[in-house]
Amino acid sequence: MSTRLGRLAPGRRRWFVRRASIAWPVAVLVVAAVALLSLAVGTRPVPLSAVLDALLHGGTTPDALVVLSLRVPRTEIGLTAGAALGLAGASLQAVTRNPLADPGILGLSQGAAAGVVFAIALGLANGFSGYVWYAFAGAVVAAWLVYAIASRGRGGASPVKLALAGTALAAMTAGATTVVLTSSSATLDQFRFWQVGALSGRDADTVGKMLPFLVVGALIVLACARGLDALELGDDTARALGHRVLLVRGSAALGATLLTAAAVAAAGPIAFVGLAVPHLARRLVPAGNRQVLPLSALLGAALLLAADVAGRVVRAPAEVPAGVMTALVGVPVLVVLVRRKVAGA
Amino acid sequence: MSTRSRTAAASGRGLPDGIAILRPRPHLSLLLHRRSAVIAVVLLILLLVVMGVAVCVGQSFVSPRAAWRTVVDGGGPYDLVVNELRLPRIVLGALVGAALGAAGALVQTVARNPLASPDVIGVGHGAAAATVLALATGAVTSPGAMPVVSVAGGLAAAALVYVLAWRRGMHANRFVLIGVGIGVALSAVVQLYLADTQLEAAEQLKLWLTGSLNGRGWEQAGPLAVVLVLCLPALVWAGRAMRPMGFNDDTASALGVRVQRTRLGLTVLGVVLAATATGAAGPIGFVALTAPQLARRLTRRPELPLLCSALTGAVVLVAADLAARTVLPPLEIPVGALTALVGGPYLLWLLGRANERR
Amino acid sequence: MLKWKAALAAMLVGTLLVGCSPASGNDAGGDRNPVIGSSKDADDGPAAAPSALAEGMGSTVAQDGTFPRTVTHFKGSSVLKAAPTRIAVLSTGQLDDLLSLGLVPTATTRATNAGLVPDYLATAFPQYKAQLAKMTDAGTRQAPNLETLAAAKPDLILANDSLGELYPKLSKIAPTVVTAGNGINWKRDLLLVGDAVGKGQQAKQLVDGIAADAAARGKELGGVTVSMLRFTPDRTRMFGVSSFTGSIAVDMGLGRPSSQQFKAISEDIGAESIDTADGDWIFYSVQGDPDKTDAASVLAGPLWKSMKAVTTGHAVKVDDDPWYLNAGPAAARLVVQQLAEHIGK
Repeated sequence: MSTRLGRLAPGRRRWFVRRASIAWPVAVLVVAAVALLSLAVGTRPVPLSAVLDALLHGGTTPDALVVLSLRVPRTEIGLTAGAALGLAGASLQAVTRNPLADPGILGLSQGAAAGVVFAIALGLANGFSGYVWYAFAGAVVAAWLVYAIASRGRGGASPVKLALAGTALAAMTAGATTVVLTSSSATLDQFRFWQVGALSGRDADTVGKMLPFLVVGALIVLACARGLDALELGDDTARALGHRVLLVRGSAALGATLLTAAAVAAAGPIAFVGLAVPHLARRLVPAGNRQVLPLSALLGAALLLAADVAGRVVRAPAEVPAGVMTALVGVPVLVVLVRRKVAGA
Repeated sequence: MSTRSRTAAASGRGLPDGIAILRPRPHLSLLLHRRSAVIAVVLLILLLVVMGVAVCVGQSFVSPRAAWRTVVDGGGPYDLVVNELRLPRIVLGALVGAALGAAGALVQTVARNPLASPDVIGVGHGAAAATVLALATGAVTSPGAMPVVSVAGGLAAAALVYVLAWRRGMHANRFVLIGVGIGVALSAVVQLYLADTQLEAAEQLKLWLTGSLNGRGWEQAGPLAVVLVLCLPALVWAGRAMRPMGFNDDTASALGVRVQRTRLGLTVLGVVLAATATGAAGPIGFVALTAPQLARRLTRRPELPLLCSALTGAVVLVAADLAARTVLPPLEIPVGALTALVGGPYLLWLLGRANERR
Repeated sequence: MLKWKAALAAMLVGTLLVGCSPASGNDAGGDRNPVIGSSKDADDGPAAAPSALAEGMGSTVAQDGTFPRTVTHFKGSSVLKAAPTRIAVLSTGQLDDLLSLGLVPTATTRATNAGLVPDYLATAFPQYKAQLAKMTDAGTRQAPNLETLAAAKPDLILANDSLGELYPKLSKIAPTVVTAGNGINWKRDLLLVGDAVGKGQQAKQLVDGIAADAAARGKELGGVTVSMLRFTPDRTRMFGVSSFTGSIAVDMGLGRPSSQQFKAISEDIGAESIDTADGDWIFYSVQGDPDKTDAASVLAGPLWKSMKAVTTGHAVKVDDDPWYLNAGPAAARLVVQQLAEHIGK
């Protein structure tokens, strides 16, 4: 799963190092470009000059208002949620040693969404600060269930069993959610608004409220980076190297769950961002989660934002939720990965 | 039909416990598992009982005797309620449930995985996507053509999953995972189109997407029954072909089974049944998933019983539909939502047990 | 880089899928807007509500109160042997029609999670309060409970074309008359309902009366432009010329902003372009709880507040039911009255 520089021939090694050294600036550039695109593109055609003008000088023309009060928050949320999901995906893939891991596939996103629906149905929360705790609870329950189910029997929690358990849980929560939503129109209304409108960033404070969760989750996950590297070699080897396996696993999983919950609570149930991004990151930088994790965050931000931009454009004037676009992109990636890595009954 | 059944004790007579051989003709022999046969008969009786209850119970109670007379003779004060409103719906429910149960058994046997039911691998989503696309783009307007579109969509989705999952042979886990992925992609496509359709039409579509038997009856049951009858020879073949599929590929090949071909045949049959059922009643989940497992628990055999799965599916769906229309009157809960609610936790429990057994 | 190819292919396929859809919004609204029979009335002026029965529809008998009569409707024809006394109404607007003709139905359906009788009807017809309370609840408009309907023993069932699939079953329960539905057809639906219950002439007088009243009141208002908006939980829609309220505006001689001069019933409008819905006056409604849905964020946003109508205090929140949900004579009267009152102030 990770390349070792030492194994490569010297020529390739040089090339790889060169590739790695440009990977970071390029990633940052890509994120900046997508962010600019997100500011410039939308259901309302705003010329680029007006966008730049609004950003630099402010203003009260309709164009400027759109850019500043609608697109800027939306871009911010897209970046933070995308980074959170990318980071969560990379972390989960390392923890479970599973190339197919992703908050959506493992059922965490759906669990978080179910938590939010639960909160909405009982009238317990409205808005990000309320949702996020229920999302977290839901994601934790989902993670525990998936792990418990997948780890029974021989072989422990193998990648395939985890993925299967995750998708089963996702199907089940989707069904339960549907029942709740069809029986209460008020819940359905609020849910639809959360599901579709959240990434539109109309609540400008959401980013500010989300950042603490992102930072805390990222810190937890990054602190485990070295331990995750060791885990790749196997539990026993990791223990021999002095890492506390259970602690590393638990913390990384906790961090990933927190990140997922925050992203879902802010932007709705979005899946597949964390699936492809770590793979790409691993190809671009040398092995080691200390590099792969942050790069996944950057790439995740770019991917989610790009999906959101695409969603604004394809069915204008209607907007397609970002989660739909990420699914359309992510499923082919899933198919490719499954074809490569899953064999045997 | 002369029956010479030989049951063997551990005296090593050659036949394992509980197996019987029927020889209706000198040249014809049928291997029969006694318990399965008994369970099948019990399920059939149970199905008739549940259907009878469903005919009698509803907004107004019809006594069994009056219901019987109305069904047999026609006319009478209960003619409208029994013959027009309840009976067609119940019969359709039984047929759809049977088709889904059988489809589930077939696909789960091929995939060797209890999770691999047609609704999980994207048949339902494919049917839904095709229907939504046809309605949204206005390509198909005649109501008679909609079931055909659904079936075509379901088949296309399953074919896509099969093709994508085939890589130097078919592996069950690949099949399931890719099926799930395709299902997700298809529902994303549906969302894509719903985003732009007129609000009123979108509401109608969303209702169809949940799967319901309300207002449906003979018009939908007819084509489904025809398909089932046409598939009967294939189903008989499938019942026998399913047995060796429980072994791994090498053992099965050694036993002389053409593994890949049999697999393909069983899958196609399962998908056709599931797609047709979806075309008749909309996507109803969890029946194809749980009915075969329930049936297997009853027959206590390692392989999934085809006939018992179909009967179990029929019982489950008729009972679920009865609940859907009587639980919160006058609200009509879509039966698909009810099966999801009940089937979901059962599915999880199932997963846990399945893992344990391995 | 197989993954990139896969992703690229996915985006290509996605774009193709999306591109192959019919253009949204401003076409004649023909395909995705099955306004039955309206294309024949291009000469009725710019999409006024067709005020005559569609070709071939209606009853064979002209005189009010004469039975038996055969009524031809959108799904065939039904024979009514005597004046119906137990009428079941299944679709929106038909309760309004009956009450305005002086009849109270015995069974009715409701919009999801709403009461049986919309508030505006209860207010407009206090004299029927006791009878309305005795109506049988036959389920929701989209999924009526056929058994409850049958148990109520109606002698006439009214439904609109959205329940067309149920027509065979409904006609076995009682003679059924299917109207066109869609707000633009409110006048001809009223006429058809009138024909079915033996009050065709009274219905005609009602239609003419409302149209005349609208024209008279509208004359005093000058041709100000009126913008019609509706906030649903996940979408904001503006209503075009061929809608219920659009047709009333035509009757009153009021103008519409250029963004709303499309022929379709309604169209999505994104939050970024909300200012294109500006006009001299804005009449908007909110479905569901305004705090928990799209409305809250849009109405609080700076773009909304910068619109001309809002700054001059000409943005009026109206009741959702009569304006955008139920198209009938009492609703029409209410809309005319509210338009005249607010604009005339």
